[in-house]
Amino acid sequence: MEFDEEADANLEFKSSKNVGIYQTFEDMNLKDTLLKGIFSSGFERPSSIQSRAIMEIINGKDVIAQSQSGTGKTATFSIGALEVIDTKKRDCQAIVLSPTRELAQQIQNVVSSLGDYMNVKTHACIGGTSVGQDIRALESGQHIVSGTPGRVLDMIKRRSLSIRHVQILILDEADELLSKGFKEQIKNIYALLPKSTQVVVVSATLPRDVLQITKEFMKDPAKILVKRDEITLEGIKQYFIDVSEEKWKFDTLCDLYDSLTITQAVIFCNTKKKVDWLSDALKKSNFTVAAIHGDMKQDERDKIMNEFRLGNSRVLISTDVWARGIDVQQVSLVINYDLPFDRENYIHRIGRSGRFGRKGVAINFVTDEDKNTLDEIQHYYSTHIQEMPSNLNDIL
Amino acid sequence: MSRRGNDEGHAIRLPGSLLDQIREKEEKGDYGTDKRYDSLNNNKKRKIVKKELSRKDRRKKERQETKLKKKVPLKTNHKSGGSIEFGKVSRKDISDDEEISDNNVTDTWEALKAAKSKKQQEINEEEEEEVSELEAEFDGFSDEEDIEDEVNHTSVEETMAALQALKNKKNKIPIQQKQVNKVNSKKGSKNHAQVDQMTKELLKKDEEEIDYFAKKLGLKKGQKLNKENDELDYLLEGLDSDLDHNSIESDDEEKQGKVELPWSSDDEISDFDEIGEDEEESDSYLNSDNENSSNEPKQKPNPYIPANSNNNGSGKAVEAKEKYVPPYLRKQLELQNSQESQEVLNLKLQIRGPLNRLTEANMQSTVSIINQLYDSNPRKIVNEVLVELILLNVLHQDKRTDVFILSYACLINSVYRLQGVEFGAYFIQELIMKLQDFENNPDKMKNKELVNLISILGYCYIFGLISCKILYDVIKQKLISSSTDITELKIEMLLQLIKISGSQMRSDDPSSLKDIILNLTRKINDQEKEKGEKSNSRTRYLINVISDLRNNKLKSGNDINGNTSQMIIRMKKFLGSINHNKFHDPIQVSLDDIENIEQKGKWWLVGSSWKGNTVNENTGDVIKDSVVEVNEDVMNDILDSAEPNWLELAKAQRMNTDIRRAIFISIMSASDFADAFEKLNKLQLKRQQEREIPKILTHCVSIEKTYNPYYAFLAKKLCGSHSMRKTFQFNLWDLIKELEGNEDNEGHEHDLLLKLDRGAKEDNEELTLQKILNLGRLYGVLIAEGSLPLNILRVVDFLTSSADTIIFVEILLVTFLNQVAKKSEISAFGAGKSNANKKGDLEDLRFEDNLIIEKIASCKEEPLLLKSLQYFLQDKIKLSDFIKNKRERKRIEWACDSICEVIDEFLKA
Repeated sequence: MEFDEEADANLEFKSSKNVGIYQTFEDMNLKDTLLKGIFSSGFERPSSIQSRAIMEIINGKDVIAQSQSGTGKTATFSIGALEVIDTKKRDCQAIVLSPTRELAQQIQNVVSSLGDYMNVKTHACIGGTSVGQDIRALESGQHIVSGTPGRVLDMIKRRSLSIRHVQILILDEADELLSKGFKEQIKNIYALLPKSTQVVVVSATLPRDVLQITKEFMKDPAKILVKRDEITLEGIKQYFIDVSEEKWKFDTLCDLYDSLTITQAVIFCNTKKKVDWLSDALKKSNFTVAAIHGDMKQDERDKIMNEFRLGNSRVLISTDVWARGIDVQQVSLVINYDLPFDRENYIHRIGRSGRFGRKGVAINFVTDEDKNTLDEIQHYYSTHIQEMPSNLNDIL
Repeated sequence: MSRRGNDEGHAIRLPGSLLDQIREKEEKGDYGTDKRYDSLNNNKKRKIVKKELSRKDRRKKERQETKLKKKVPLKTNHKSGGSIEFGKVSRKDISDDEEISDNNVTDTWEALKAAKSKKQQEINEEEEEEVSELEAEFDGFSDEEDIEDEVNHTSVEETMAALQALKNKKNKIPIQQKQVNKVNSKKGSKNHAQVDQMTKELLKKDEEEIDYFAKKLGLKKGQKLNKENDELDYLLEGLDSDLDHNSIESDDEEKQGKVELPWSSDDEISDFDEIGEDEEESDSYLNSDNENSSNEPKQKPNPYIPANSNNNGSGKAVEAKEKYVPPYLRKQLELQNSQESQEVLNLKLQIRGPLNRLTEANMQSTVSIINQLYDSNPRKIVNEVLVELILLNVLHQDKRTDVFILSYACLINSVYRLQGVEFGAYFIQELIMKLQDFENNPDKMKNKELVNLISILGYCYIFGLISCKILYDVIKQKLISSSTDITELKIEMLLQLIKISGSQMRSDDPSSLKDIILNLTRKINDQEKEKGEKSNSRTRYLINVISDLRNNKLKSGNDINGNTSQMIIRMKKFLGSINHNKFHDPIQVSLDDIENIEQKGKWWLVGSSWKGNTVNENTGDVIKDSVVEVNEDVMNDILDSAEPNWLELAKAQRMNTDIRRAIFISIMSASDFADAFEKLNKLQLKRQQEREIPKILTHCVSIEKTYNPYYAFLAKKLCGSHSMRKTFQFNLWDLIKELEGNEDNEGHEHDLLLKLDRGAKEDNEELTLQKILNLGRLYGVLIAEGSLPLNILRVVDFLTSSADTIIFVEILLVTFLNQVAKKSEISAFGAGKSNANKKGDLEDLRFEDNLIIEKIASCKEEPLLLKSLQYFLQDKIKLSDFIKNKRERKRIEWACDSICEVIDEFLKA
């Protein structure tokens, strides 16, 4: 799991009083076997959220943790849960609920890889799989169950999942879980659990109403909230290139690729037709391209994003639809193939590369007609967008 | 306004204004009074007029207007003496004393330089004062024009300074120079005798001013400014080189000053425009010219040469400047101009694009694009650019994903396979250099950069670009060297390396791994003691991982995640498809080799000079050829565990490859034949390599002083496999041919060992006999034991063979018969067999025919062999000297007889 320490250090936290900060995993006094698993999963030192939340979970407090994706939330509660459970007992001691099957499956993977040296039994209890297998797996005894609310509730009701010894209930993506149709199921599950069960709520965003709901079943929770993600243009070098006409854009793009060293780049277009056209054109000139736009389904998009994150493709072409959702660590370059129709979107597009205080470069292609738009953008954000310097190597 | 636009503006406008003045004077008949001037004047006039028309019409008008207005204020100038003088000079001083004007001009030039080199601030302050004065006086006129009208001796410096302050600093000097020239030229047209007091006054004034500025600059009298280092060269940037041209030649060519104006023809103007475009270039020309000016002897041109010819001359001078740059300056020029040649820049453009696009999906096409570049560009340059750009991509301050590094490693290996060892070696070299850089100044590289570096090193190893040797070297010498502490970073690097390539390193060289673990734990323990605190759990985790690795407990899923390991497999497949057949083997370079490139050269490059141990080099090469797929561990174990004298012995016996040495030592150091057989088996030699065993075995047999049955047992055991049997058989045939001394064999002789043996034979007759004896017995036993059939003797010509062959066959057959007969003995009357034998009761010996018939049966299809055998047995064997005792004789006699009988029967049938 990739993680950027420097950027993480810049996160600001607003947390409840008495939340300690543990700078290393060693300080947390974790089990040796767990520590080994942590290191072998590639973690070096805890991220901001981890350094704060893990010990709160271990100490048995109800915890609300909120921070953006990519800051290590999953590992936070996984480590917490793994530390809490006793592997000598064969009972289910922790339940993790998440809104989607894929997420539940992914959490189960994370937990089992962190618990690699611990002889921990984990199970993904998700819909769309054989109920019989689930029952058998659960009856053989699982320490940690990760699942979607519906199936988990079903299993509890069938008495396949014994909940007598559950110590900790974790709600991942709590904003999702506590809205929509999940809310009732969650409440049902919670009602069935022992009174003493510790509740951990984790999410990237926590709207007020969700926070309100948590009060119903959490006692004096320790809150660890990352300050709202304020996207700024700070630290992002912005350039424009005067391409005068639309038809020169593509050549300019190719020329940039011949002149700069680019690891991964996100290219924004205004229309989905343009996205398709550009991705075809780029494929023809030997790029490996991933393209997403609004017509795609969530899972399709996740798949493509995952490919991009893994580095299987080095160019991501997107419309504004996903501008807010793209978060790829190693993207250092954003190219606005078209200037955004809506100037609000400019910051969301470029904000990608500048996340977590990360430095980035944004290049805008400007046609003659776009010049006014560019001025507007500059004015709106009271920022200065420079003309692309001739010495290209210095900018990245 | 762009810089260039600026330049052009000045370059054109200034001379225009000057010429305006001249023209105006001409029009007014200023020059008319001078008779001598007429001839020159006509020429020039035409020229000037032409030029003016073509270039500066508009400005001319402006100037003319302003000029008229200015006439009067000029007279009221506070330097009115000078102004008045101006009039005189312009009219009279046309052919002034050369020396005086010489001084004058050079002095002026120096002064100009001095002024120029002043701090800009000072100049500005000072001259602004003056300018404001001027402005006050010449109310209503632009500054520029003031200055132009100020053209006179006395105020050259002020004017100059004012110009600098007023204008953009750059383009003033040529004007000034022009002005000086013009003044001079006007002076030049004056008479000697007319050098009047005024001129002297002017000179004095000049000198005063020079002193003044020199003082300001802190220069001592007579001391010259270093023209090159005055840091004001930028003032001259973008100017035509006419400036320095003048600076050299103005001394001597006052006369031609006007004519010489470079813009006097359109061609030249364009020339200068070009130069102006390439500022750096012209800059360097300037430098070179300044240098030249001090060195070159001054030429004294004839001032009366017609204008045209001078014009040409100056043109030439300009050209010459462009042509010749002194070598030492050329180097500078290269440095200044461009760090990289155009070729490299182009190549970079071509390579960067594909590199930026590189993913697994387009690996194939990218590799072929890059490979094609090698066709059209020098290999060395492509190598350099490619490696530079790859490293730029990979060595990034953020951690790169495995997929990313993996694809670059794959690219590198592909290119290595296609282009060969030069690329591969260069890449490793650069990589190691980077690592060394880090060692030398640890702060220079960011942490993640190094982790990325280690990653790519590890992946290169996985793909087989480098051997484990260099990785172990890196670990030993860089990461856990005894001289430095183990830092967090080093641990991270080590972990990364082990994650990527640990398991393969283990299988390649377990013993080194063991060393490393020992070293590491010892070192960490030491460090703990030193600091009195327990090392952090990450370090302990590292040790755990490494010892897991040693004990082969490392989970395969643990070292790299599934995605990556699958990709590795795919990439390996891809690499396998690059079938160039040439460069599949890892480069066996060690860290030491790379670090000592300076001293030793690069042995891995064919044809490069190499000062290292040549013996080692040879073996290195052979290893590459033959060993790669062998179970190296076992081989190394054998080599390592061998007592030194075995190794030496092996070398003494000219066992020149690791395989041969391993076989040799296996045979020689075994406790019995079963042990030897086991050891040989463990080597897991390939078929081709297996052939070495019989060769070495027979070699061992032949060098023994006395016959040792051990070899026969081993050989018999080895003959269990068909290929071994065949090899023994071929060896026998080779031997027989060799004994025949047949020269034709030379060509077929492929075995170095036999050649060597033969060499030895020639040296030493005794050795040969000993060899024949030993080998004869060996093969005798092998045939008797049924490991080899008797019919392999079909190649022997029993009648005409050489003495050596006869002896060999004799021994072979005697041994064979003896052995067979021994087995065929029937104990007489059951009991007391041993007794009878011991007592030598020869009469009682009885034999069975079965065995012998069996042996002979193999020759059934070889009537010739049968007949020869019959003859040979009867004639030679029965009477052979090699039969030791009576019992043996008895056996052999029986055997001979029975064989002959069998043969008779065969022949009849």
